[in-house]
Amino acid sequence: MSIAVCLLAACGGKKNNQNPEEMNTLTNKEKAVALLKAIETGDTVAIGYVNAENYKQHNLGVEDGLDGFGRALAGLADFPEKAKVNTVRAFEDGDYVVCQTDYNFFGPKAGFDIFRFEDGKIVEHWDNLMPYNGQPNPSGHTPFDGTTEMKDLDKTEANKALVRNFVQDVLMGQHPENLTHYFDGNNYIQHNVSIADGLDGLGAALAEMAEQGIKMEYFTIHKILGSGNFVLAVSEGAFAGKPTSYYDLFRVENGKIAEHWDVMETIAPESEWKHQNGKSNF
Amino acid sequence: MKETHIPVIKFRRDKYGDELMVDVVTLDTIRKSKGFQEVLRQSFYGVMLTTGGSGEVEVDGVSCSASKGLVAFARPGDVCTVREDNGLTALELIFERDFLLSFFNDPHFLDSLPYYSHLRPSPYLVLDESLYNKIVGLFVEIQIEIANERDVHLLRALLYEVLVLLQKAFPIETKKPVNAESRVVRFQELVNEHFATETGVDFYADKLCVTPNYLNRIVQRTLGQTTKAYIQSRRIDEAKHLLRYSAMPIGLISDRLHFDTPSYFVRAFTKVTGQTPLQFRNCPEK
Repeated sequence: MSIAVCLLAACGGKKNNQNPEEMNTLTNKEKAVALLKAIETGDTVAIGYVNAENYKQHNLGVEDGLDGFGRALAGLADFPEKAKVNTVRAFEDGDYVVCQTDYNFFGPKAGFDIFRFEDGKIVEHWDNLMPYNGQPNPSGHTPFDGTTEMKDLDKTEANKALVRNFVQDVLMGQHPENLTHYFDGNNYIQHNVSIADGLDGLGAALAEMAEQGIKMEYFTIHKILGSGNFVLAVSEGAFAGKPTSYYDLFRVENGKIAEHWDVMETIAPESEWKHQNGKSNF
Repeated sequence: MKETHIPVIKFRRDKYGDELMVDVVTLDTIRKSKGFQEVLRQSFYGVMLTTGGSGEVEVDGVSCSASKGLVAFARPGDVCTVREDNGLTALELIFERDFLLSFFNDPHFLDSLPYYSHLRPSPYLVLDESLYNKIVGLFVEIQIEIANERDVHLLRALLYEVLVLLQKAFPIETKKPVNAESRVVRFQELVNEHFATETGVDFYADKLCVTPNYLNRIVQRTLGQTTKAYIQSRRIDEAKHLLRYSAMPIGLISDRLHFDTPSYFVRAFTKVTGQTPLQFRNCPEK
């Protein structure tokens, strides 16, 4: 039996598969990771982590509610490649859980998912996905590799403020003159698929984009989520003139930005939206 | 096959729509640009910052091995080439003279920068890590500003900061030119513009509104050579570029530089360089 059918059955089966003990012992982070893994394994238990009566979907291509999630997965049965889900980093910030995942889900993808929990159950979901061809970037990094060690939990708020300011000052272009204050010299590990390490790598990428007439614009920050040395910025802008959702994950070391992973997704035109929840409404 | 002339690469002022006379580009994009040849002259000023790889570059007849941190300064008309390339990457800040002059009330600002001076000991500078990071940061700031607001005043300020930081790091002191010296700088500019057609001292004295005698005196005092010898050496330098980087026939070079006859050109060239033009073309390393 295919995974999708299993999951669909789980959706229909309401609360039968829940193990109340497990519901209480698992952290929100573990539940989120398990739910994503269920796409690969067909683990029906994980479906129980979602609030079946109230699940607000922000992925514009998936219908609202748990049924919508199930229907999206049903499509997997027709897809030739077996789904694979490997969450490489995950952290909690209040009721939110952020997961960074190496997917093969209708083809290989890099993705960030954000889940919001209420009373131990998932009630809301946002994500940003992009196809990824497996090629390392000019400095040999992938969108997934690099440091995974989480630390500096006492610096979460300071690091979130730093990233918010960086996005405003530099990416939104409000104070580009502050650029170098955010970095420890040229030390900046870059996981963007087409940019090399360092501020010089960023400079070269900007120059090439300018040469091709491509503009990368950030207009608004929707959400900053963080835990210790990792901070995710959810922003919106335009890339080459197309409305774009940016998910940028930064690793902060000693008050400076040290490493960066990102996923960019073109925002589908309104005519294709499956609901009116908004891609980035928090 | 060498070209019969050295191609000139022009600044694209309309690249971003409205006229903008400053830009930061990569070595790669320069190479992909229209009319690019391995050996060329830029019609604009450049600060090329090597960011990675290694190789050998040559600016204005001086070659230098390049690796991360090397800055090469190119003036309009300087012949630039990458002679050896092992994955060389670079960012080049480029701008036109007018971009600064349209604002600054100091027409000699660019000439007072030691690395753009006619008297510079070398067109290169190696940056330490902290200055490298600072300069890369400024380059990226310029790019972000170009991508966003494109405020020419801010861009000018950023360019100015880059030029002054590099001036401080450049290993010679420059005095602000006093009156006579600024006349000599202007004389050098005029020679640069007119050396191919105007070889007489009178022409330059006239342009500067001074007598030939006075011009001779200040040139001798400042540059340590006569006006005539200075003009002649500028012509010979140009002949060297053409011999080295183009296949232009010697008779044509002689004509181009307004020597009376090719044999006079050969004699003058040999006197200054110790080699005949043909020897120089075949073996320019000496």
